[in-house]
Amino acid sequence: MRVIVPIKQIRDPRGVKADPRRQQVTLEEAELVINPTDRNALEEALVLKDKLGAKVTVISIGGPEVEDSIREAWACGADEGILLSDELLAKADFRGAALALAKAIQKLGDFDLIIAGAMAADTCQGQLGPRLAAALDIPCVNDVYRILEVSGGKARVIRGWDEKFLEVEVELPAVLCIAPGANVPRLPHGARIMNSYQWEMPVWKASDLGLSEEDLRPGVEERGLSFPPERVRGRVSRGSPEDLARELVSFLRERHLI
Amino acid sequence: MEYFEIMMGEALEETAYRDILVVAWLEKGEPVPATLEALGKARELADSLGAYVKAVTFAAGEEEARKLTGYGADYVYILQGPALSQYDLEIYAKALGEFIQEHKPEIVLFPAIAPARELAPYLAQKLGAGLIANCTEISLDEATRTVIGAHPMYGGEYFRLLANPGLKPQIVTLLPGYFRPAYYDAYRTGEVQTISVEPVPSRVKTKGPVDFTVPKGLDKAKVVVSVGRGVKGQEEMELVKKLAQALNAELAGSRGAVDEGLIGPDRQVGMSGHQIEPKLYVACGISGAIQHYYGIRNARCIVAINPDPTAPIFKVADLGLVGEVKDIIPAVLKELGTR
Repeated sequence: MRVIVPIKQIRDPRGVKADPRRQQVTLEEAELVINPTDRNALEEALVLKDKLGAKVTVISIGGPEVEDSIREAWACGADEGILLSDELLAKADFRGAALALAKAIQKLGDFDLIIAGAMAADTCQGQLGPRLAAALDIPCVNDVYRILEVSGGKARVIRGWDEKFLEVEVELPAVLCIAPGANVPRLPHGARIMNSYQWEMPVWKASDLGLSEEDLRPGVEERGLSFPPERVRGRVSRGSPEDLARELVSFLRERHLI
Repeated sequence: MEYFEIMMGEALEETAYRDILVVAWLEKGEPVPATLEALGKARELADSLGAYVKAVTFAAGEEEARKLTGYGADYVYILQGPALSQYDLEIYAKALGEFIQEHKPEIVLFPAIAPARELAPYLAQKLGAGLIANCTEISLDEATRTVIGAHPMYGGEYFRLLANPGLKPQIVTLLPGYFRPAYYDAYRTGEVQTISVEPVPSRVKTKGPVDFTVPKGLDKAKVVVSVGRGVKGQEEMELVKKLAQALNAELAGSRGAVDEGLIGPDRQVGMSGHQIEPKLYVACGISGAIQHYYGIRNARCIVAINPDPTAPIFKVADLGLVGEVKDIIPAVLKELGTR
């Protein structure tokens, strides 16, 4: 049984602080980490390795710095890791990234499951898992909280939608997108951290995947950033309960807190 | 107009995509609130672009789907077929994809609700299209007919503006609660058409609800509603619990609240309890001694409700409301319910 886990390296969300006054955000100071929900996905894959002897392959797209994240996943227990890296891949948008991962997965051969994080904490888009399923023409179940059973060419899982939990059975191969916080991911083994730098990581370019510049041409354009209102402490309001309630609710809405 | 387009030669292909399509969800015979927000935005975009609003929905009755015209859709299409009575990603995507390829909408809006969070990116990939997901704001570059969507980065620390000018259709999902819903006008009319969809085999079976809860910890909670000594008795505690529920929040308390028996010691926040970093911390009847503040110093936003205007919590709160918990919370619950 082969399980593939696509991971994304992002800036540690806890270290990212926007400065609304200067209308800017500095990302470079935050540490580079594996997207937290991708760690939940890796954990689910490693549980399948423990229980069923699944072979776990981690794939990521990015520059040479992403190697560290793949080695960290290996130190957690993954069996192999592949980095997709070149200039064309660096410019790819959501569509191109899904296409590249799909081609790489096809190149690896047969697989049973792709277990992905449901959302990256940086962009909050949640596009990759479903897009990958579409590119490979396989079914997808998102917002998965638990994998109950994998057997007989099927997986039984629990999907959570709006606080309602449903048992879902899906034919394999399939993509499962794991919900944030679905489990407590394990930490890397001390000895494996040292050893993780001893194996050579395959690095595939767009051309290795049979993809041209045209295939990966990005369609999405960034048109700037915007910032929530600046934090001012010590604002105190008095009035009728109704007025205060109205003020509170609009305050929360302005800051996208509800 | 048509003649002009033909004169433009190549432009014909480009402008073949027109109108705004809303993928509408109905529940118990009514459009869900997030659908109304998408219809409201669609109407606005359509009026700026001189286009029609079309709504497409799955396996709905004709009468209930007709309500969408009252909410601003000029055309309503019901995709109908035995395989569509229950949501299935691949079946819905195939039916919707074929519909989109035939109708060529310029812009497609989805409410970013549970099935669409999966369906929209899946469909975008199948169509070779771009997608801006979870938008909190949408604007239009009228000159190039380009939709610009703002979406949260790092959980809303800031927002990024994206556009998909080259790829058609331009697909966007709208986070519920950020857009003005369409209003109902019984006199508005439109065409309703049913399209039958051939059955295709399903590879995903929903077997039914299961008893399952996610273990949520205080340490990871995004929103925390917290009580202190100022919350008097079980009756007021019930109000706070209702507020927590309305805000999808975890409950916590100060040392004082633990002493009063309002909350268990495992939920205590402060120097001798949990140190938390939620996006929103609502302190109800907490004076905010330094020991307590230590536990919430990394909260991104602090709101305080307290009758004593000199309470230290007001110095650190982003918004302080002077008043009794028993008066303010019911008004807040009412305000949250009437949106």
